[in-house]
Amino acid sequence: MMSLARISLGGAVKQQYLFKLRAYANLFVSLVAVQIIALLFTTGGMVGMSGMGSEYLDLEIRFYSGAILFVFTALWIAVNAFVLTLPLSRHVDFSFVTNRLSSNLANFGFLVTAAVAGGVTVSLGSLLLRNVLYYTGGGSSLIIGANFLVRPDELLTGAAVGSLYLLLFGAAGYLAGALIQLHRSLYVLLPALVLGVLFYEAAHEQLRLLQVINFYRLEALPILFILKIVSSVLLLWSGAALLSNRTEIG
Amino acid sequence: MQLKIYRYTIVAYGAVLLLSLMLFYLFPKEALLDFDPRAGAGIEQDTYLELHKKWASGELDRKDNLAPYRKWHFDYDGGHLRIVSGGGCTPQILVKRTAADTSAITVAEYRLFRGDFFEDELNPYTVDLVGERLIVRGPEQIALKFRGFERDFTIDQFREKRAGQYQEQDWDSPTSRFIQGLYLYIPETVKIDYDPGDIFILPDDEE
Repeated sequence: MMSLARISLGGAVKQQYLFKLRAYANLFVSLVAVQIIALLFTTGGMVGMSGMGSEYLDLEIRFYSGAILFVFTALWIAVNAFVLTLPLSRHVDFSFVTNRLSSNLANFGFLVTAAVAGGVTVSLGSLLLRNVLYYTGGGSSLIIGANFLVRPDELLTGAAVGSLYLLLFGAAGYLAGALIQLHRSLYVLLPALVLGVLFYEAAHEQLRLLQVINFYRLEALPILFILKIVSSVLLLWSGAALLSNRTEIG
Repeated sequence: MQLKIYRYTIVAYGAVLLLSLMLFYLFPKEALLDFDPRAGAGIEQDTYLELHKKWASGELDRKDNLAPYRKWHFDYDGGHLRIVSGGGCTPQILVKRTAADTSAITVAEYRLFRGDFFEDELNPYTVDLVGERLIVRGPEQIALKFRGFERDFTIDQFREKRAGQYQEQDWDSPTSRFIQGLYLYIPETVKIDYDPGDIFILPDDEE
């Protein structure tokens, strides 16, 4: 049965976005699982260690941080952004009056939501880690005070910055997914290229990859940092949207 | 049904995170360890040399505000003394000669600190005189294990950084933070012998 009802682009995007939030609720469950695994790895000993001492004194300090939590969450959003571009996920959109543009915009909306959820939970997870270690670690006398406390404004900054980084990882995953849809051979070639670049970079002293990371990491001005991330994300999304327009329907 | 399970899982995790947030800010933490291993980063060698120089030059007992941690006094008329290790860590002894007619041996333990938490944790020396043998037992090594935290990089995004600086790893070693050694005051006529493999003895500069 055909529908004669006209629907605006905004309405279609909103409908698909809300549908995706429900349909992909399992992705948020996987976020919970990924973060719990990261917390278990961190509390279980996947941490930095520093052994210092002399004949008189043997001092061992285990250093914990939310870094593993963030890395796992970044992988989660990149993989899920990739999954959104797969044919199976795209077919879901055909239940709606839709086109490539509204489908992509709804996906972008979903990724923004996922990035914010990831950024906020990573920051809160870092506090959870501190609480777990504080209450199970044999008392405050065994915990070094420096860096333990996190001010509320630092927590908010961490959540916002984390969300922006996750948005970037999500956009990169989405572009990679859109690229791979161009030809089946890219399923093998693209991961091989990424791994090859990583190995090549690791074998050389002057890592160009680090320079790319520094472009974002060393930006200390909030407005410039936001501008860098947002423009990069828009560039990646535009590329993905253009590529997805070239893929066959169905 | 599946959607319900998903919702419950997400809500439960959110609740745990919120509870943790409240626990972190509403319940004040007991006094945490006041020790920053990075506090003296970069000055380790200078500090160590400075501390060691003060000990080795025999200046510690001349400092007005520095009293020995423990002191032992023995009457001694002999012309020879053998210093032996009674166990523990290798004793570090600086020999200071006194007048020939003193007829006494005095041993003082000095500790020089930069004010660290483990000042009270260190074990003391013990000294005994048995005949012509001065038995010095070095302090037992103390082993301390602590938990520290790195600041999340997302929190530090807007702090000034330099290229390549992701984590500072230049810890300040605690070995550079204190000296624990003995001063042995002994008449200049008394000959000393010891096994250099067991005991580390420095003569006074003034000798």
